[in-house]
Amino acid sequence: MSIILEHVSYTYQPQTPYEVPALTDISLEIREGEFIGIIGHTGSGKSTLIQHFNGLLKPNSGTVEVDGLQTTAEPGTLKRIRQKVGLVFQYPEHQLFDETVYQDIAFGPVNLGLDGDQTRERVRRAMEMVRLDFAQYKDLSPFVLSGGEKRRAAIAGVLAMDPRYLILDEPTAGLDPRGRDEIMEQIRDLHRQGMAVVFVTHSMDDVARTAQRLIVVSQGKIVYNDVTGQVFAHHAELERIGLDVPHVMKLMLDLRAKGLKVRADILTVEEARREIARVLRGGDA
Amino acid sequence: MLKDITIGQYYPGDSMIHRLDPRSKIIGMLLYMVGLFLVQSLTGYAFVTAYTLILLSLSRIPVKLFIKGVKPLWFILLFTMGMHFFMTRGGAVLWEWRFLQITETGVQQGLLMAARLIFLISVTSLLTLTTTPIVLTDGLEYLMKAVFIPLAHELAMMMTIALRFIPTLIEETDKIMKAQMARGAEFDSGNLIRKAKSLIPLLVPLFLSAFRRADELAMAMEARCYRGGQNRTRLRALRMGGMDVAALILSAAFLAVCVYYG
Amino acid sequence: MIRVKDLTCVYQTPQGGVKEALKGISLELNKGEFLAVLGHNGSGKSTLAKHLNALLQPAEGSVWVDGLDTSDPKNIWEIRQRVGMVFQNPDNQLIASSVEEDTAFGPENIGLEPGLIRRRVDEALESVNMGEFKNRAVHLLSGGQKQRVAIAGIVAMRPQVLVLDEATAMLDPQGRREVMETLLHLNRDEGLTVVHITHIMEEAVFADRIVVMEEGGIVMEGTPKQVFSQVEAVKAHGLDVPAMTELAYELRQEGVTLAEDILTVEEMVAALCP
Repeated sequence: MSIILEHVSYTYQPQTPYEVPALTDISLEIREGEFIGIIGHTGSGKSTLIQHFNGLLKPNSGTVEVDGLQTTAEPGTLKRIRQKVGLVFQYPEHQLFDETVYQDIAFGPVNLGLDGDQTRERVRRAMEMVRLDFAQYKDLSPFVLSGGEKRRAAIAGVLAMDPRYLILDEPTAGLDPRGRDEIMEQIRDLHRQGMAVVFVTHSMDDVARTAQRLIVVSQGKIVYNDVTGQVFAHHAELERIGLDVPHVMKLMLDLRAKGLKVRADILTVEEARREIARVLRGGDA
Repeated sequence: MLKDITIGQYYPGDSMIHRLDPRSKIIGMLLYMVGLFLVQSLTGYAFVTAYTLILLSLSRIPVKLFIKGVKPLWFILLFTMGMHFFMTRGGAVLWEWRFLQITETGVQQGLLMAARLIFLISVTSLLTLTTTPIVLTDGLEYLMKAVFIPLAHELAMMMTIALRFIPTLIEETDKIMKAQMARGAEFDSGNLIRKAKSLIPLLVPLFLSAFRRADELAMAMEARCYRGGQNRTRLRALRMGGMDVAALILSAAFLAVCVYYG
Repeated sequence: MIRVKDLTCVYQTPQGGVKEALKGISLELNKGEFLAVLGHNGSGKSTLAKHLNALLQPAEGSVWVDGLDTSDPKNIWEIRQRVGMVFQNPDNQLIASSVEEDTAFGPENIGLEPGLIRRRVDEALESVNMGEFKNRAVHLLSGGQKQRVAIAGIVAMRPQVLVLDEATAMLDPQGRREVMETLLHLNRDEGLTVVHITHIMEEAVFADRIVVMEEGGIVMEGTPKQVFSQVEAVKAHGLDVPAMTELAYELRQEGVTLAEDILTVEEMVAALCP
């Protein structure tokens, strides 16, 4: 079971003077249980790409298949696809609309046609996943919550669909370090519980810390699609298309250039600590 | 659909019409509209058509853009034409079915009304296509003040801000719609009541966001020393030149001819 | 330049309670300085910012700008011209549809002659490197470009202080770099005093001085090296330290002798490979 894109191309406003090609010949697969980061510039096509995963956008050519269902099929299928693939947009708290946190989160399940008990169970579980206490928060208006809580409530609104794949567009945008760490921790948690997670980000450090696989998008094409460490091995190429590499990796490369025999495929502070200490003590491997 | 509306869009250029003072353009347009509605005779229409075509070609704006401006209003056009076809009686009967009847006068009236609407939309588009929003609102503000319309400055400022935020809000609507669709919402199914109800998840966030924007914008404007119209100067001072005088005389002459042909 | 003394601010929470956003803050801003104000959301840093140009008046305590008291209504417009402010959301602070018309908004409000406005607008757009975009529609610009236009709109009023209230929070790395470069240029080459409110540590590294806020009070103050070298204290306030400072801290735990005030990759390389 997986999301499969084959030779997907997409153009905004085709056959007009304003025609903008957004994606060109994209093929990729997202398997169940994976943890994938997508990076690229603003305007590289990554937002367009993720909107193909649940059929919000349909390719001009090529196919998108979710667990064997085509996104170009009739509306009924589309609904099933959207249940399987949860999509959390950037600043999701701006989509809250209902009177209480409970009703807002229940919007998805109700749209899926679930009955009262099932809906209640879904909402309770979704709130648990984002660590909003059910009893304390369910009857509050979503608009009196703090910024971080609003975002978590909005994410719960998608989780209540019980998706198998969760796609997040810059889930930490605009949050302070504490809020960012909280959200990233919860996302890692969801992955541990077996959900496939795909997140778009600008933060190389978030990617380095969490993603198992990394997809780099530039000018509507996939440049790299590989294990995270392998992608960063192409640091010179990444810098050429204007993307950073994590600070730690930059350091390791500079140290090697100065003659210190450290490994260069190191992405996090924790790994660097061990590696540098090892080399300075004169250890070998 | 929303993206197709060209009224309010500016088309950069340096034509004779572009360079006119906004006040002469607005007055010229008002005189044109009066003339357009006074004209009844075929001779009069021929004259108005010629005048309109000359105006449009002077702006050197591609015809495509004017056609695009009329397009979203095709329904109103058809409706007006239909009303006249069936309701206006007179002259030879061309077609008849039970109580429905199409007459020669009806067809003529329908076509003329449609032409009148198309001219009206084209010349209004001409004004916005050749005038940047800020200059246009400056001109409006000046003219409203001249005829003692209260709150002239405030109205003009509202227009400026509305024009600035239309693209932003269209983009936002699209985003919220998609986000709710990702949660299984459907905006295009069911009967009227269900359809109206399905708009709540779209409209509430949209209004909230508009209020938030308004709030922040007010704060930003205050921080930039905005305190209403008092003591305010403009980057581009409005100035009437020889061309403007000529344009005004021409517009007045147009009206006179229209009145004469009736 | 700006003097804040015992500033207190109270507000009502949505639940109906009363909270102190600022608890008796005192702060001195020097001419030509680049000050970074750090703190997590709700620490009171934005409230402080809005007191610096009289968008908010002190409930208790006082704020003086160039000797002008912000609580005196007579001074408000003079103060707002001297202390310009750029806000977080790039979309919600541009008023006009085209770049140069927006930049002209401030100068128009203070009643300058059209000729002078034209010169100021052109200069301001040059100084943020947006000169060639002056006839563009603002809604088609990138986030970083919009914020630079917002900065130009302030610069065109010839302020002495530029306050940025989380102006980089909604931008991508590219936009952040653009804005930071612009700020450093305005500060170092054009002598503008800058107050940059942020929670992105890498941006604070460039400041002359850092103030850390928590729960409406100032909890740390000093040069970037002085502040970030206290890794545990900074983290306790819900903030990050730059990756290299953290690594240096970790390596010291491993027994490696390293200075406490390492902030950048270059400094780290120099320390490890002398």
